[in-house]
Amino acid sequence: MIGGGRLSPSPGRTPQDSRSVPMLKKTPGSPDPHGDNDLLAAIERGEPISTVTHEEALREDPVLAIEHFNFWYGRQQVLTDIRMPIPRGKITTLIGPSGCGKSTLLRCVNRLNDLADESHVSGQMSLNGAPLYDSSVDVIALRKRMGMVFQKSNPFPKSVYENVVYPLRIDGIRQRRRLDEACESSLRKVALWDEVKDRLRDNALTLSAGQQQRLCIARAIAAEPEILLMDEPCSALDPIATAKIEDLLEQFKGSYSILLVTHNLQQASRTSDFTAFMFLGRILEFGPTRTIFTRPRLAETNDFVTGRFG
Amino acid sequence: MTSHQETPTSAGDEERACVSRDAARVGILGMPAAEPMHWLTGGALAMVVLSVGGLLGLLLVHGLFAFWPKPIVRLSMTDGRAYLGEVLSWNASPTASARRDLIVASRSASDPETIGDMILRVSNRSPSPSSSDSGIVRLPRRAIASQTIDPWAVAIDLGGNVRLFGTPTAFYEQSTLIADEPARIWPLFETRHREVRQQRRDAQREKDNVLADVDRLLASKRRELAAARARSQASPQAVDDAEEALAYARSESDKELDRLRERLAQVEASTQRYRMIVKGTDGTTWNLALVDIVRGSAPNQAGFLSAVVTSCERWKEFLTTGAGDSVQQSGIYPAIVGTLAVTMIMTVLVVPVGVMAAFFLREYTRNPTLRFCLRITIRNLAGIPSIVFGVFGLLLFCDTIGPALDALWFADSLPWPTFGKGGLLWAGCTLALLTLPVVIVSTEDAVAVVPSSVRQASYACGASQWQTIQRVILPYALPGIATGTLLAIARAAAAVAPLMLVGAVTMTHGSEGNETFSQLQLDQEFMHLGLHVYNLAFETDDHWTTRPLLYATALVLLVIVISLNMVAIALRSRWRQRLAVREL
Ligand SMILES: Nc1ncnc2c1ncn2[C@@H]1O[C@H](COP(=O)(O)OP(=O)(O)OP(=O)(O)O)[C@@H](O)[C@H]1O
Ligand SMILES: [Mg+2]
Repeated sequence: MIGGGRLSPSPGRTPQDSRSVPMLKKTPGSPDPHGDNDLLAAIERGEPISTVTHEEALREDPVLAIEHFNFWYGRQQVLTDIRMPIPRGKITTLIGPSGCGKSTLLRCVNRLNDLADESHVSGQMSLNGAPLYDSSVDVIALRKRMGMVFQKSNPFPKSVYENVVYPLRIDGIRQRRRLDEACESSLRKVALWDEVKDRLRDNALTLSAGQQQRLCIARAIAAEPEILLMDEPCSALDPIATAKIEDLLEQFKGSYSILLVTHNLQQASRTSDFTAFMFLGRILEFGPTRTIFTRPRLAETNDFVTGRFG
Repeated sequence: MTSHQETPTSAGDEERACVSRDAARVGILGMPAAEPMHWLTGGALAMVVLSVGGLLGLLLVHGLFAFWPKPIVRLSMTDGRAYLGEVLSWNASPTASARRDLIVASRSASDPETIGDMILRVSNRSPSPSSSDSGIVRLPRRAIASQTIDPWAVAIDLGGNVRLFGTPTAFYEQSTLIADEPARIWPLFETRHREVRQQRRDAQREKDNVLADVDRLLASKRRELAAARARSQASPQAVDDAEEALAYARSESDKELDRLRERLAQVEASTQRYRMIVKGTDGTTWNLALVDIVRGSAPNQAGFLSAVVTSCERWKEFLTTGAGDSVQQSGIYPAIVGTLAVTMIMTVLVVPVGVMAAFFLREYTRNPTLRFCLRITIRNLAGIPSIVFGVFGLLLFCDTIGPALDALWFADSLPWPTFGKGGLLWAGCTLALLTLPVVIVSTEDAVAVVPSSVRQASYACGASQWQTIQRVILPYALPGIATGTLLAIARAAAAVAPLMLVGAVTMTHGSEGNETFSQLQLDQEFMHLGLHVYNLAFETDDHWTTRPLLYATALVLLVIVISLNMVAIALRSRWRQRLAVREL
């Protein structure tokens, strides 16, 4: 089931020249419906295509390296040949039409998809050099190195305090002082401390939706994860709460490596450093956000970011 | 509808129109105007409420008044016979044969007042509880010439189901007459009676203590002797010493016992010094030592308050005493203790096992076929009649596991079985098996509604499966577990039949101490309120005197089950509150 490291990348090989590639349009905005169709049709036929990765992204130091990763739900292949280095200390967004596999990719990173029946994978990912898909990997320990924020906020029916320190509790940490410190610092980082410091003993379900989502972020960062996975964290929130969370992301820059999924293109262009465009389980283009949004190399990317896609 | 409503000119108009239309639909009591289904469903609910309320109310009244003093009447019959006794029923329907005779004899007896029988409890002298002399008489109302209520008629219980009815005529201390009219005798009786009964109880307690001390002393000396014999090789001198010590202890004990006997004789003599003469109906008189009287009462003297007091006293006695000379004379304390103990054992066993099983089914079983089969099995288990569980418990616990345990650990007391027979533990286990499906199913149902997002949040934090179950799923499951426990207790309370197979008995004959919680033994046979109700209802033919006890026992059982349920309900609502998601 698990393709343990057998597809390790050969150094110096760039994705572009690794395979025969259908014709790629490298001139943005050129209205050539035929060319578009060629690439998209090739994808739909299931032919291998290769990711257009900008050199800036390759120059970064990767915290997470995804190598030739494939994922199937039963017989349906959801992710195909994902190759992508996630830069350290930067925010990387995944954009793409609904159902293209963004959430699945995220859930593959912390191996939550192991829980799904009849799923299997091939390829490899490695976090700070350590492989994630290996028979010897302790999945529990691995998940502790990552934090995840879900689309729908999902606090536990416990007190605010217990929610935040949950990752520490399951690590067996008992010292009151350490828990208190972790709780306060996480809540401060998500700018929730002032709002809830007098309600730490209250049930977390009594907080507002925006507060609940920030609480979930606080929980995700409480155990100092190496990478933070966020799946549309703002989709259920109003503009003010969204702005607060975007501010958070701004502050997190540099100190956390974040892989963010969003449907909000403005959010992606505002907050992130790198952007990957995903389509039907493949990453089509990956590069600095600014370039992706202004001068993408693929016409498909351009169509998507300008809203002319589909 | 008026035309103005049909053509609203503004939003305000429209609103007003709606309000007035709604107002027109409001029926009586502020409820919406009747719709046929509304009445039908409401009526059904009202019927449910009435029947539940009626059941509880009826049982409550009958149970609470079970010990209300009954008046004593004197009846003279047309054939010259006289009866003095307690009225058990003023107007009972006649027996079938009597009714036939009646119809044959006279067509004129159409007055319903005279058709019925009066049921009286009169003096019975023999202690046999058989119906031949239980003292219950059935007197046709037609044959009653006169009926008087003698203000000083008293009822005297002598124990062993013997009760005498009469009027006190004299009170003696030693051989001096102290009083000779009822109004003066009765207060004297009440104070002196309490006094001498207390003396006798004290003497009894002292005797028990001394005997226990002596037993302990002799047993320890005997053990020392046995120990000395065992190592006689090493020191033969020690055996002689031990033998001597035992002999000395024996002689000392004999002396102690002599002293005790002497003291007891003195006490007995002093308790015997008060006597009362009671005169019955047909010229018989009884000369009774006060100390032999278990209870005396003068119900016709009793006002409302003193009736309440007597009733409460009888209730207290009923709840706190154990086996008496007959079912009618016994209290239900051992049955209460037995019921609580067996329910507790069951709960302690069934809740953890059931919850674990439910978690396994929900969380660990990946194979859908296996899960399906297990579920079907468990639901079927829930449908098995309880008596079959009784047979199963008998077979598994009393006849298979029990003897094996006995052979292993209690070999020295064989052939008398310790666990190879029915007992508290096996009854608890049987009930646990019986109620297991209920707990599993309700826990499973509760676990099923845990949002998968919360479960995933826990896994994403790096929790193991067990940590997730323990910290996230369990809080969600708690209300379901409480519901399961509640249903389990209810089902266990309803299961009397299986208990009879695995250790519940009609009467426990032990010393009184055996009946307290601290001395309950797992292998001990026990009494159960449900079984007691059954016995009271069917095992005695003395229908008139046991009926009130039956009601009272059923009431106690009901109160116990309801209060256990209340505890579960309170816990459940507390746990539920924690999960209540505020609408966001
Ligand atoms: N548990 C599952 N079993 C089978 N197929 C699944 C499962 N979860 C997702 N899929 C399929 O995998 C594909 C990718 O789903 P995914 O949730 O990753 O999309 P997404 O890009 O996150 O979409 P959205 O933007 O709408 O959230 C979809 O076609 C979906 O039908
Ligand atoms: Mg998604």
